[in-house]
Amino acid sequence: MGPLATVMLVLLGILAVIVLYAVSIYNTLVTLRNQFKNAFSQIDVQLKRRYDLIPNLVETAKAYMKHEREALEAVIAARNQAAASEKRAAATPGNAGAMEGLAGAEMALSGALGRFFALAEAYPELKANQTMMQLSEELTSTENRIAFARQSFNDAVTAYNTSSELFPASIVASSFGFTQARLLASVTAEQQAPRVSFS
Amino acid sequence: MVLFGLAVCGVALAVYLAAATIRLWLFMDVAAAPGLWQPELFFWTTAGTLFFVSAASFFKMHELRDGGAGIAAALGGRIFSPQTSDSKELQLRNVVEEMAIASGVPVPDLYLLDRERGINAFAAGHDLNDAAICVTRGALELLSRDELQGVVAHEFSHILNGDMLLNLRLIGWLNGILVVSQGGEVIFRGLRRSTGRGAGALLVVASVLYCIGYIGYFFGEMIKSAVSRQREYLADASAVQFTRNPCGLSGALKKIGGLATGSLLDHPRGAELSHMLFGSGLERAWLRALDSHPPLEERIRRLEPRFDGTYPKVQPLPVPEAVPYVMRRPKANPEPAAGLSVLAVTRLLEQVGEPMQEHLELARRLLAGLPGSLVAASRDPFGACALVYGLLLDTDPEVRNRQEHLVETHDSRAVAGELLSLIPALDRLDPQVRLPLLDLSLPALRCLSRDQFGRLKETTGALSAADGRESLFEFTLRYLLLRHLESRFDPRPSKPVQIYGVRGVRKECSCVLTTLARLGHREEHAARSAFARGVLVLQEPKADFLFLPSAECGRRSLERAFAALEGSSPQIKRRLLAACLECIVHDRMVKVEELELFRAIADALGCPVPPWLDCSK
Repeated sequence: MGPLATVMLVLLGILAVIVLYAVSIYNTLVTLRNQFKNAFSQIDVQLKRRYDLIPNLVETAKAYMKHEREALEAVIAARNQAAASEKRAAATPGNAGAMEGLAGAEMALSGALGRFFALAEAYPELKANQTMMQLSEELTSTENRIAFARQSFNDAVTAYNTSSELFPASIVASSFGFTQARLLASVTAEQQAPRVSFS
Repeated sequence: MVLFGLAVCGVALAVYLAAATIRLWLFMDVAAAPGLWQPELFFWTTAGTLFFVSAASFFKMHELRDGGAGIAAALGGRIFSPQTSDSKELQLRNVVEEMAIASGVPVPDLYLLDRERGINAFAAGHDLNDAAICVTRGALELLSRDELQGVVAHEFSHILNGDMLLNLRLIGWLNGILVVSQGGEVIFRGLRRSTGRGAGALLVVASVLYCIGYIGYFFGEMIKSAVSRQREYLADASAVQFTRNPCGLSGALKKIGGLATGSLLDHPRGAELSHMLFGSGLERAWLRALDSHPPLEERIRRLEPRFDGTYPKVQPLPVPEAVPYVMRRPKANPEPAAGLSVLAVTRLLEQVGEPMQEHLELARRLLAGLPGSLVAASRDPFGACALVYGLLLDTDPEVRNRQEHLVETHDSRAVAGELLSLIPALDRLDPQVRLPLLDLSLPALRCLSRDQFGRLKETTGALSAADGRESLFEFTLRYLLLRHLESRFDPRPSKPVQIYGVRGVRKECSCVLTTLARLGHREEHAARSAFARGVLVLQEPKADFLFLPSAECGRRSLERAFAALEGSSPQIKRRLLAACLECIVHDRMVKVEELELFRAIADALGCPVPPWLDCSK
């Protein structure tokens, strides 16, 4: 074998190794992307459950809170808004716009619900209502689940983002369209300062 | 394995012969032409072929490393979501859970192929820990519950018989052979553009490579199909054995025959997985020896000898078919209700990997008898964490208080709150369903993120150590939990068989048997005699096995023993499990704790045991 052929063979070998390596990176990225998409479906399930609970809650409260129509309507409006952005987010989990829209809508919904519960404090019969107690208990439990699922989703997104940013995976990621995914910002009760007005 | 080796050797030899001939032809006019036997050339061609074949095989196996979930996702599968309101999906989930509990296997991940209209299903994964079952929308909508059960039982038989691993290996190896012909193809394509001096020789090389590779692939495909066809018959037979209802499976097969699209898959990667499917995923091959599945009619005939070959007309989707499911009345339980019968326990060994219809009935009753709040909790990751913590709670109120506090500090307040809501149901729980509950929670727990899994691991550790010592149940639960989940977070290849004689693992056997004997017998001498009975079953010189002091069979050494025993041959495992059972029934009294530990041992050895039959009261 001539020296040229040897060099060619060695180069061919190196090239083969590089290609194999790139393909394995590609596969890892696909796996991670599927993982965070599946993680979003966990949030999705709980969000839907929450959107189903809220109309029941409002329906129950209507009988007692006759003078708070505005607050009740605000809750329903916020719920519809959130449900719409949830649908968008479920179609493209990790998409920056969709995630921010969902986080914003969720924040508005939490705010409306917070005001609703603050108002409900003034109606002792409502608070003692069995259905109402059950519903609000279920709502709390669902919110806990959402928080938990969001944690899992964010961890999965972080894992995906980190491995697509690292060199040399970043080359594969940018050439095959693995865009950065956006975390779902949290709207926990602690972060929301209660708004007090004396008007 | 041998066939594969022969195939590779054949390919290597063929490559060499081709190279030698080409070289001869090139040097034809030169006086000093080399002979046909050229050791140097032989070495290079063989090394090259071996290198490419093994690299390609290795690479494919690496790609398939993700196990069942990865393959299901590759085909466009959607993971089953527990809160779905689709009644058909819920029915499928129930069928799978019943089958899993009945065979003592952790509930596998469930995937749905929404876009596939044909009737098909497959099971994939390396071992029981990362198994996934995938069902097409067509199967879901068109099959009745009994037929679906038949299909799921068929897939479970693939899981229990280790066919998945076999299939994955076959794919990997075949890819190795296939790469030779692909190499030829690549050179062809490269040649189209270049015209030069070496082009003619290269063209010959390419076509020779292509032919050799294709011949290799052809024979490989034949091997694969032959293996696959036999496994299909086996799985059909086992499915009938599990469900005791040949009509379900044959009904499903007939519907495939009656449906225009049959069992065909649309997905482009369907061909690669053809031999893992329930029904053939491809059009009939032009050669019968290349079919991955036996002909439908033949399969039905084996289940129903009087089948006349006419298939029922099946309306394809989207018109949903309404087949009402008639509940079979559960048989009266002939076993005495009180206590665990010794007879049932001694039969456990025959049932490893072979759940019977009675187990299915039992599983259905078990699942129906579980408190709804616990079942609901086991189905989402958040609730499943709380449930696992709940199973570890102590009966002593003071310790329990401390444990609740631990959950709050190690995990989160929300989980602690969820745990509090589960406590009433947990307190009323029959101890025998604790491990089945764990099995039920595993699919949800697999959805945890890495950090959340780390917290779960840490918290369960803290909880079991809260009362100052780790009880055997706590050890068992935690061992099973980590064993089934760790493979999800850092997959390790399954251990190859390395130990073929019981003497190679005599210390480990002693450790396991001593622990079991001490668990079942309070007095030292009774434990000793139970141990001796167990050793007798091992059929080895008695002197090899020592009854260890309790300090030497702690949790740590038990864990180490399990790890070592995993790599022992099936015969050793069988004998050891028999010895364990002997040890348990020695005093004619079977405790729940003993059976739980036995399940953990069997699980550690990779031999799932169905739940003991007479635990239904």
